[in-house]
Amino acid sequence: MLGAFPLGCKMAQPLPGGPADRLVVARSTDAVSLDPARTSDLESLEVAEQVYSRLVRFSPGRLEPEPDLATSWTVSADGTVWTFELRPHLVFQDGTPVDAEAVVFSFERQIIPEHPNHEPDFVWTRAYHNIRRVRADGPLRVQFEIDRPYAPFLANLAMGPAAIVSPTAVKKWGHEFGRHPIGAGPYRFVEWIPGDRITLERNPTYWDQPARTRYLVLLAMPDSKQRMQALESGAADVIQQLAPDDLPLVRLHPDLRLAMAPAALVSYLAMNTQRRPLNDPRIRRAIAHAIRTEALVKLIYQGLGIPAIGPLPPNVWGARSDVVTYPYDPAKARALLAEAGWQGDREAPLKLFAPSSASQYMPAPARVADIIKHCLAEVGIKVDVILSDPADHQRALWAGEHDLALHGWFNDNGDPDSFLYTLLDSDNTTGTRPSNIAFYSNGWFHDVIGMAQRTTDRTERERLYSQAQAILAIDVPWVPLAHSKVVFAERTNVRGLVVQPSAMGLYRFAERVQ
Amino acid sequence: MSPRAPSGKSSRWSKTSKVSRTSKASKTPPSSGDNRFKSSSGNLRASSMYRPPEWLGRGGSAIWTLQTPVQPQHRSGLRRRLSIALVVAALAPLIAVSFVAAALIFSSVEQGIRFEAERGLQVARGLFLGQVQDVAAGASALGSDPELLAARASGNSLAARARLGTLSTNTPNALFELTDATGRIVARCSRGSCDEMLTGAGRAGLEPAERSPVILRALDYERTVSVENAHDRLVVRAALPLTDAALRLLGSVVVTVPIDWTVVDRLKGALGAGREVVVYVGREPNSSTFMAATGARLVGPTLPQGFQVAGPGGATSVARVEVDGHEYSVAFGQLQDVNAASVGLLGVAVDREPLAVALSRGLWTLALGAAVTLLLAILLSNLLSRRMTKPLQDLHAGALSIARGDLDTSISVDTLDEIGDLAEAFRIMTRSLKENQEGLAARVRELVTVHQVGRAVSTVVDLGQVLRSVVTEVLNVLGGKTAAIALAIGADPPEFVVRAVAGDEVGGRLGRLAAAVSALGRARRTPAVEADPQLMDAALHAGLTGPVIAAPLTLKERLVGVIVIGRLGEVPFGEADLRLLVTFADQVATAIENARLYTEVRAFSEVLEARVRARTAELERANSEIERTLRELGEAQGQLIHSEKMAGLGMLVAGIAHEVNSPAAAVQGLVDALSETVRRLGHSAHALSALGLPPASVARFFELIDGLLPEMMSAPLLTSLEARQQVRRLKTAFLGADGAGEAAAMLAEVGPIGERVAPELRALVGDKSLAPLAGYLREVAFLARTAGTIRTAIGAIRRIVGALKRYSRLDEAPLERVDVHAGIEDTLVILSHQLKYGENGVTVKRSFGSLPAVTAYVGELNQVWTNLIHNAIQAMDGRGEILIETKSENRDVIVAIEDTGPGIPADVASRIFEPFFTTKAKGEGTGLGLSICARIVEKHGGTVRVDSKPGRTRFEVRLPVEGPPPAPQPIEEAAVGAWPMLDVSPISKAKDRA
Repeated sequence: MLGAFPLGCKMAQPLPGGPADRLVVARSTDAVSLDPARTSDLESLEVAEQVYSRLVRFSPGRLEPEPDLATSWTVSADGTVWTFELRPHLVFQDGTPVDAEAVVFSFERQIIPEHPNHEPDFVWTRAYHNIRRVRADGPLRVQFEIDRPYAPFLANLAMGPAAIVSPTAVKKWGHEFGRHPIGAGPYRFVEWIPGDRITLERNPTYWDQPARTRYLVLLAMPDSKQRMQALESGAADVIQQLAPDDLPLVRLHPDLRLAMAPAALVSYLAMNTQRRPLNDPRIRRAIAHAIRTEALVKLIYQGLGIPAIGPLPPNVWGARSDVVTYPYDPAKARALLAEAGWQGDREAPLKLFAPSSASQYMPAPARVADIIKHCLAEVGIKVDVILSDPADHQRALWAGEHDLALHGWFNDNGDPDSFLYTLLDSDNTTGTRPSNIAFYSNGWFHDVIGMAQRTTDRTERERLYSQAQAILAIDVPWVPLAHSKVVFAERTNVRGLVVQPSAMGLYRFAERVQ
Repeated sequence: MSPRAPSGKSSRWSKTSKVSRTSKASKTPPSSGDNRFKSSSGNLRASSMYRPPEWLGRGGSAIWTLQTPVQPQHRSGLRRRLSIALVVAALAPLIAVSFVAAALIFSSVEQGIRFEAERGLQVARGLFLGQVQDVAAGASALGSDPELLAARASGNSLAARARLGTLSTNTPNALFELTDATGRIVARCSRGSCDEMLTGAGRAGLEPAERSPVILRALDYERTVSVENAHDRLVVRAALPLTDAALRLLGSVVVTVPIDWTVVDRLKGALGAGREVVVYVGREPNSSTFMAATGARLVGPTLPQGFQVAGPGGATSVARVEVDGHEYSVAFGQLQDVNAASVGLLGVAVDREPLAVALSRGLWTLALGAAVTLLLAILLSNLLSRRMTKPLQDLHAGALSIARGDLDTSISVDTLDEIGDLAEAFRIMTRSLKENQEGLAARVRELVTVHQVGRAVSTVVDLGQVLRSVVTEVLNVLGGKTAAIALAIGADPPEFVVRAVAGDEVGGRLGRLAAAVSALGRARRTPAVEADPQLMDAALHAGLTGPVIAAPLTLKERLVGVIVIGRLGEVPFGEADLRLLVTFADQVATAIENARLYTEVRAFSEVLEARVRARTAELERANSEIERTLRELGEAQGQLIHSEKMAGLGMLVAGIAHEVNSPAAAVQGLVDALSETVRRLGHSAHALSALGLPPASVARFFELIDGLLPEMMSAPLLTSLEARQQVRRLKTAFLGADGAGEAAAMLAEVGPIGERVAPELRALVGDKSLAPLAGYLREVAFLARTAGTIRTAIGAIRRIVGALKRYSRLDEAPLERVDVHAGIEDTLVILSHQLKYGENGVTVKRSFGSLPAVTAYVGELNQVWTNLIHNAIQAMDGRGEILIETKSENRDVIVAIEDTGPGIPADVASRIFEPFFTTKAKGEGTGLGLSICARIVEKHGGTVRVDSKPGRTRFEVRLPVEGPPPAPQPIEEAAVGAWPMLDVSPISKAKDRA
């Protein structure tokens, strides 16, 4: 079996179990912390997804909430009180009972700064700011009071940070809980060798069907070539963040296969609508007309993405495909610029901020920035590309230093609100970390989105979101670029792996067959 | 050698030897055996059952005469068998191990080859795909070559071709092509030379087909690399789009590399010696590294007939093929194009030759090892068996001679093992056998005599006969001439009377001698009685001389007699004779006592019999009295059951009377009102005719009324508010008509129908008054309504009567298919006044499942429901809730009746099904209700259970759908008959089963 190890792997500790007992997943990055309150990166959230259960979870392959720890729920007539009934007789992986108190604890430690187990670096405190109170009503009933009717609330409870943690373990480990996670999910934590691997084992007390494979090993392999070699040799069963150049290899290799989720991410060129000259919608429309978006998506994504016409990926409910679009048309672009009084060469160059390294939503941002620069040059818009590492890039966008910026978003809760409100509502243009980096502010849009949050009637919400997308299509705060697919590669003897639209693997059903 | 094997063998061997010995014993002539057990008849008169064996009298020599000849071949057989067993024991594992080892060698060698081939294939495929990636990377470099891009962008095709030519020199075996944005080839270069129609340099036939999918993909901005079949050769082809910085499409570049000798040789180079690589196009071999012995390159082996290569999905297949006289194991894997379709195969062959050599060497070594082991096993087993059987043979010989009866044989085995111990044990055994044999013979003789006498005296109860047989036996055994028994009569001193004599008659005169012996107080042996100082007088008196033995007969230290034996000759008695006599004496004393006791018992039993007769008469008298009491009690119980039934009937009648009474009273009242209405109708008709309407209008009016009649029978009345509103509306509608106000008021009494027909009435009267029409309509409406009410009341009465009819088919109904729900509903109707007229009433909730019909006595079942529901109502004091739940389970029907009463205490609950158990005050109930229920349900083959806690008492009746078991009895007899008559539980003091 030794021959199966990839050359670069540290040989210090063998993997647990026999080959049939484990599933090895190679990822580009290690997790940061396994405390769901502290993690916002995909790699950490993916591990948390395996270790913890939430009140509701996303159904396989779709981002629709379904019962997890809660068997049923009701919402009061005024939409501000959500009541959840918990599954009885469940325990965390450390034997602590899963009850209403544990649920209250899991939320209170995040939303109440005075809570004894609150930590200043909890990142989701703001995300749940609309929760006014969490209350245990008997051992198996929890009530959430929220400040106003908020339809996406249920979907938010299916997200990573809504994980229910073992209060015993949190109190025992305190700040170190992120290294000793205890939840009630399908896998329990075994070991974390930082920079190398995280080992999980099937949780025998999981309420649903137990995981098919006993051990789940998540390797950190930053080098995509190394990941590919591991997959080819069988040292890994699944790899993530496949380099586009490796696609043909996977296609030609009879032992390997692509596993992908439908296009669920969005990448876009955000335009700073608060600043001259991009506060003029005509110039924004001109830019949209000037970029060869379709060719760009084909060339850059190589079949792993589809051209976007709006923020919502087509598989998110409420997505609209019949809005006004701005196809490549340099003549029209020039006409619009002339109409807006664009001075051509005399105008100052626009600053285009792009991250220097690839991400889930965009494989080659530098190349994309370059193409956009050249496309815009053809209609008389000068562009300076500013490449920076992802953290600096994000900081620059928060500070609003950009005219144009490449950015992207992944579907974290399956609700249109996650895209439309987070990325485009005027509520999110302020603060130190504005998520609306187009700084787009439209009162009508804001009202529509607000109404859609306050009703839980799906048809009504679909109608409102349809309206919101029409508004966006006219205002053009972005040039939507692509909806990229989440692509994993797996060995052909792996069965049951589900790649979630949220870019995480669902490993409960996965197993290796002979 | 396994330690267990020899012992197992030897035990089997010893078993067979035992068998052979017995068979030999049976072959000895039968005469001697028969003789040994020949009877000596007539020796002992009293017994016919036991015959002492002859040898008892002859003392101990030659008891057992086994004439077993010792056969010489037997001895050597033991050793041979032992050594064969040892060899077999050694060989069996050897053979098994050899087989396993051979199988293991075979399979591991085969698996090794397989593994080698598969490993080789994996490596080769990795290398091959690496080369594919290199081609793709080469194409990529081409696509981003600035010079080429610039040339294409400027439209300078000559410059572009020149640049492509330059680039193609670096990769000698590849074909480079350039297309324009429509897919037309504009340049084709190889090894630095370019020509649109390039054919030379072995690159011919590599060109992509017109509108090649690879090029089409490239023109759609896709970078593709694929393995393709180009004119029966496999090629790796990469294509990618050429664009300028603003993504304007300039065309595409295509790089094609053939998979030929170069490629397979490179793969073989990486795999090492003994491995060959072969590539197939489809299923045909195309290029390989196989060489013929002449050094000529071979195209590769054809695929074995029917061999299926595992499809796409990564599995490999291994086959054995022969190439140029060599055998190879070849692992085959698919080569697939970018759409995962198979275009060919890649095979890696492993030469089987070295492995075959290794295999045969391994097998030879194994065979040699096995032969040596076999030889050693034979030698060793021979040696061992010789050593082990020698002492055994000695022992065998000794044992045989002992068995032959020669107890002086000495066994000369002195090894220090178990066999030595066995020989020593044999020696000890022989010695003690000799000693025991002698003692045994003497003892047996005594015992037999004692046994004879004992048997004689204990089987006879007549004293005289006992004594006679004793003296006879004793005389025989002890060899005397005269023997007598004298019994002691009287006391202080007793007188001795001779009661039995045998032999010489002198015995009859030995009374005084007996007295003399008794005076001695112990047994006496004397060689000459005439010289014995103590006995001489008495002997002389009787005329007895010679040797005498005598013993007192004592029982529990009481002297009962004396036994005397004389020989009248010279031979004196021995000490053994005296011992024997004393033994006899005890027996005789016991016999005397037995005889005496028997006589006493006879007398006593006669008295007893008389007493028994007297008692029996008394008992018979008592018995007849008990029977009468039982009969009376049975009658009382029958009366009780009857009164329970009557109580139920009373309850029933009360309820029904009320139910029937209410509607009847209502009808009575309505009939009174009718006559008044009929009178008013006359007046209305008169007013109507006085109006003078045209006949057509009158006809239309009556037609209208006829049509409305059915509706009016059930039409609701208006509330006063509604009536006021309707009057107001009609007044407005009739505005200007004659008698509008009056008509509106009258139509309000008709109800909503009045408003509906108002427009029509208005039309009918024209300018005449509306009032007569409205008045007439009002009376008709009242009549109709009254009729409707009467119909309802009569319906109610009929319903009750119907229920009663069905319900009251109590006892006479035969076994039939019964709808349980209907029975319950009937019961509820019967009990409805109890349900209604409790303090706040009882709510009945039904939770009826779907039930099959049950085979039952319908009347009896109704009695059960009545009892249970009635009980529930009483338990709740007439207010609360009764839940009747039915369901079907398996082949049973379950009816549960649940009330919200205060519940039954546990001690009461356990007894409620007992007859006469009641918690009601004396006189309120018979206490039979629930017990009859239980009996009825049991009779139907079902069960009743009660489950009670405060606020919820649930009786659950379970009835089999098939009905009662066969041969049911009428319920009363069955019920009474089954109750233990003399164990009727007292009426309970527990009063609070509410």
